[in-house]
Amino acid sequence: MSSADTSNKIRPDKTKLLPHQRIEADLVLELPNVGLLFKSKAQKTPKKVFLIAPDVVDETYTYEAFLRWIRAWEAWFGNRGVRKGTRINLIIHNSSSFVAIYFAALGRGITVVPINPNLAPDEMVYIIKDSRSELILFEKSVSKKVEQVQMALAYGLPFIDDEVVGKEATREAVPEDTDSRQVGLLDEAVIIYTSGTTGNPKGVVLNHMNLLADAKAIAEWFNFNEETRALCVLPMFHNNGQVVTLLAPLYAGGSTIITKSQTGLWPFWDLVRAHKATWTSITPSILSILLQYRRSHEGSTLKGIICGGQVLKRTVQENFEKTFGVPVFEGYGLTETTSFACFNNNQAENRVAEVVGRSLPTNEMAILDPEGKEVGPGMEGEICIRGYNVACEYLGLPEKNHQAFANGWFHSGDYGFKDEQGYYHFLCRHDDLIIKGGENIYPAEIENVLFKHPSVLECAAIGVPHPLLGEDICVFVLLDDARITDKELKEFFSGRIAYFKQPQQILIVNRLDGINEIPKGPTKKILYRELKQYYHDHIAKDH
Amino acid sequence: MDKIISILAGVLKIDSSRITMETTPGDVENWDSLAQLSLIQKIEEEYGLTLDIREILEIKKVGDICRILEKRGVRGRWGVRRICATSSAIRKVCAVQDD
Repeated sequence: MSSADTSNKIRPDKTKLLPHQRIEADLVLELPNVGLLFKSKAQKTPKKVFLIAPDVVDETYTYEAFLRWIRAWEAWFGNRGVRKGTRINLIIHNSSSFVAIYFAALGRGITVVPINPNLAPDEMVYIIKDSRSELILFEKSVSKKVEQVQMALAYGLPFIDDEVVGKEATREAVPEDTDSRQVGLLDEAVIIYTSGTTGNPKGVVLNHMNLLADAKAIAEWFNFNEETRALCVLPMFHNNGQVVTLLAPLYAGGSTIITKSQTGLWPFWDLVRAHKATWTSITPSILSILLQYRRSHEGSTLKGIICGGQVLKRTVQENFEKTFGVPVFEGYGLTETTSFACFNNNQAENRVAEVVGRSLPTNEMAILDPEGKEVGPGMEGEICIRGYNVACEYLGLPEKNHQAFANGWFHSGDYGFKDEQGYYHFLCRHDDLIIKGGENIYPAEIENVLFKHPSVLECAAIGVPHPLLGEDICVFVLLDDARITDKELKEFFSGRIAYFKQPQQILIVNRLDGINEIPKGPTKKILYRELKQYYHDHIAKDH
Repeated sequence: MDKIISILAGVLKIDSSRITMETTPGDVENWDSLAQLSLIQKIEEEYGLTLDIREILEIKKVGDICRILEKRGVRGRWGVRRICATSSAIRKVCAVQDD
């Protein structure tokens, strides 16, 4: 899978890589898997603080202490026959427990498939079945939901409360050494589910090379070192939280402050100050929220903020930097590129305005035309990426893989251009993806729920402007019984789909002027752009 | 209606009858990070105080908010005024009411 030279450097064997992962530049790593990355740092600086989980009484772990916890989990997995190649689901919010299980599993070659604890039971069932996971670890706060999931699954699976196991695991006999060396760069590491055009989420398969390559590139781009303290406010069930604020600082021997997603935003500056955070990674929505809920940032130790996941408005960036005095470094990437694939220049004074940046050394980028040919500077086309951080595939979706990972490139579905200086500019998406607060939601996810309502004849969901979240969700609905109210329809979503995907605005077409049905093209495809235009012309202006 | 219950019902967009001292974010599907922000902002505005980092991290259920307000001396204005009985024990809660 990989070759090691005399200096213990590891390079992936390029002949074993997928075409969209091969680039000219070499990738040189020190370790073949994420579990060993942690262990090597723990060996080097055992007494250094690795993780802080702020709470009423803060949890603080040195590398040495955290390694003991990881090894207890490894022993627990080992004693129960959870082996390399097994997939497990974690339904756990950001916590020290999530991190311990994550490293223990990855060190043993077990694939971690995190599930957003805020999803509705049916959505969880889909991911559990699709990922063919054999063990589900969950936190106590979701136990009611987990009961519904267990009932809905047609087959038995071990569901285990992580708190119970946590106590049990620490009592397990811890082996002197584990079989971490048997886990290689190209072994499956995590599967991250992201919204899919059909309404079902798709599992993005990432291997150890993907995670290590992206973590290394980010750590090096921003000069992370042993003094780096990254504040993780984004959820660990997405890549950004995992890679930018956990693996990248770990790569540099730094530390992570992990906040519970529920509470991390209001005391953001207090957390920065109390734990001397030097970097964080957030979405543009969070920048807007921090601006709106303005709290004292006095004594801030932040050197910079890494920002991506949705379009960053120049006014928001400028206003934020002026108010809080912290530079914001915009980047671009997707779940399929592990996290970021390009960044604006490091060092605040070297940044270039209006760009998402230059390609990371671990991947190449290009703007391609519909025939797959690279276009010249300034010409618009699809943003395509290839390299060591590009995902292996979508799980069990051969047709989608064929389209997205074609001709040696990952085709992002995003459109933009490259300028004369080699900087990439993001323009738009060519599909109807809604990005609400950094969460990707395809209209079909919402429409599929609404079509289960007996009175709904037609419906279409669109993203509409929202001052904090970037976009919110509005649904146009044609009913066969016009007496049904939008309130009833909103209630219909409850428990069927995660709250963040539920529309805040439902427009009943039967009662609207200037529109009689959901507009469709000649092939009966919904014309979402026309609905957006209608919303802009008739609805937005009245608000 | 008790003031804090009214704030919670308004921010979480749910009927106040659904809120008890034991209600947690896990029990209300729209009690997410944004709702938590609005909730804390509203509490600070309504009661004229600034919650510190420990207090914010302490909030795991509705009863915790009441306890924090009580500690902050809200008692004088809104007071601890109700003793709730449960099947297993008598549980003191901080029911907050308007002036």
